[in-house]
Amino acid sequence: MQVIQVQNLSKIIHGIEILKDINLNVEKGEILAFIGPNGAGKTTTINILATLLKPTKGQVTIAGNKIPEKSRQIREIIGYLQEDFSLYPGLSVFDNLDYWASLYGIPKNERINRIIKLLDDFNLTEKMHSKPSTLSKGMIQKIGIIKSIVHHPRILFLDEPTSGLDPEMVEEIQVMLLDLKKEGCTTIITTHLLDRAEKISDNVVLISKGRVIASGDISELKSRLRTSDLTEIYHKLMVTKND
Amino acid sequence: MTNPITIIGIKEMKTSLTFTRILIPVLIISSSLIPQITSIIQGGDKLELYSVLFLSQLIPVIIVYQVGTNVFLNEIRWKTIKSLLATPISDLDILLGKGFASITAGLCGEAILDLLFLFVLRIETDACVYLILFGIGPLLVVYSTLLIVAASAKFPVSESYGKSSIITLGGIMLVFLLGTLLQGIAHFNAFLSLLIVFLIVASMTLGTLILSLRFFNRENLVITQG
Repeated sequence: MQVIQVQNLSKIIHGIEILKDINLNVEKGEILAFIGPNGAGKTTTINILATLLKPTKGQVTIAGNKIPEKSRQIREIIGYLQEDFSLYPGLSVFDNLDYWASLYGIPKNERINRIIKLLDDFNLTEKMHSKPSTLSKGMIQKIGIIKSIVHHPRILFLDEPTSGLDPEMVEEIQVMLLDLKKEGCTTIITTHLLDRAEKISDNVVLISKGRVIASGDISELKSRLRTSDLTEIYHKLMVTKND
Repeated sequence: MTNPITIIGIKEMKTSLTFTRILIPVLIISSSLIPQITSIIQGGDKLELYSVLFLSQLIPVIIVYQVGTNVFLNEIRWKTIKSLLATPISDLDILLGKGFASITAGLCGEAILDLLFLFVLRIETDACVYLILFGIGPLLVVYSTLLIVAASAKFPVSESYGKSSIITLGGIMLVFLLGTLLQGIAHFNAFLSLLIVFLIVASMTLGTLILSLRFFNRENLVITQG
């Protein structure tokens, strides 16, 4: 069952066409990786899917709800992590997470239990009452991931979730995403880490200058382009595109 | 389930409300107004009393300004705006939640001011005094809050901060100027002129709420954040 359908999506911001005719279909429980250089349009695409931006042209449907008409219904079922996620400086880690969870209407006791469990899963229990200024970038990023899954979303949008994380933390996120996949959660991530994207994702979308230059199953892309890994595919296509 | 307005409001109070931001302007204005009020009470001139009571409503308005002036700028600075906008909260809830801390702080200031006038300075009360203290005063708190929210929703970034301040301060000054002008003709009927001020502020409050919703633009805030 397709949960995300994107047809001929274009986005113009301040007169510049950031996205051009993007087409995309994502199945329920699929992990899709968006790969591309800086300024390719990955974040803009994620922002449109997360209902933060409206499409200039084209049609986007998330779990049967169209953007922007049914944006509020979409926000109820999605989790979103922005690139460079940050916390409210005056609040503790727990208060930050409790604030985000309460905006989804989760009852207090359930909120507390979920936050405590997730902090434990990510080995952050001892930082529960710490202020953000005392945390490392990696810890803040993990808290951002907890924030985006605390309300048990059906669809997850993670913009560069592994940026600034050490390999051990990246591994933890990888395990978490695969666990969510088993529960039927559909995930779209953007990343620069091609090897991770290959291990984690079912399908990839390679994007450059606002256009999709290749998409689909990684093994299918490998055989089509006669390459051994995603990194090779990426470089082959990007070099061809830039030429 | 707790109301999202309250949730956002309480968070705003925890992150934006600081004692010094409120205390210093309040002390400056109070120190200039209280001796004036004491001498007016002794003189017994009613119209002069109404005029000073009306002007003293500037104190809660300044508290509102101090608390609410960075509502959206802080979210952009702290990089939390996108996370907030991705939650299933309506525009109205976000705007009112953002205004909650200012309104609460302003109304607390208003309550302290009322206690000061009624129980410490023991001013002689009548319908006009009650209308100023319990009608126009609280309404001005709500009006100035919505004005700040509308202005900062329209111009959320620091580069536009000047425009936001001009709109806010201009709107507040307009009401006080109007009130002072109407009190110039108050000797015909003080209550009626104060009632007109109340109705004007009420309609301006409603107008500002509509403007806030019109100015609030999720896409603009997201693009500003980058």
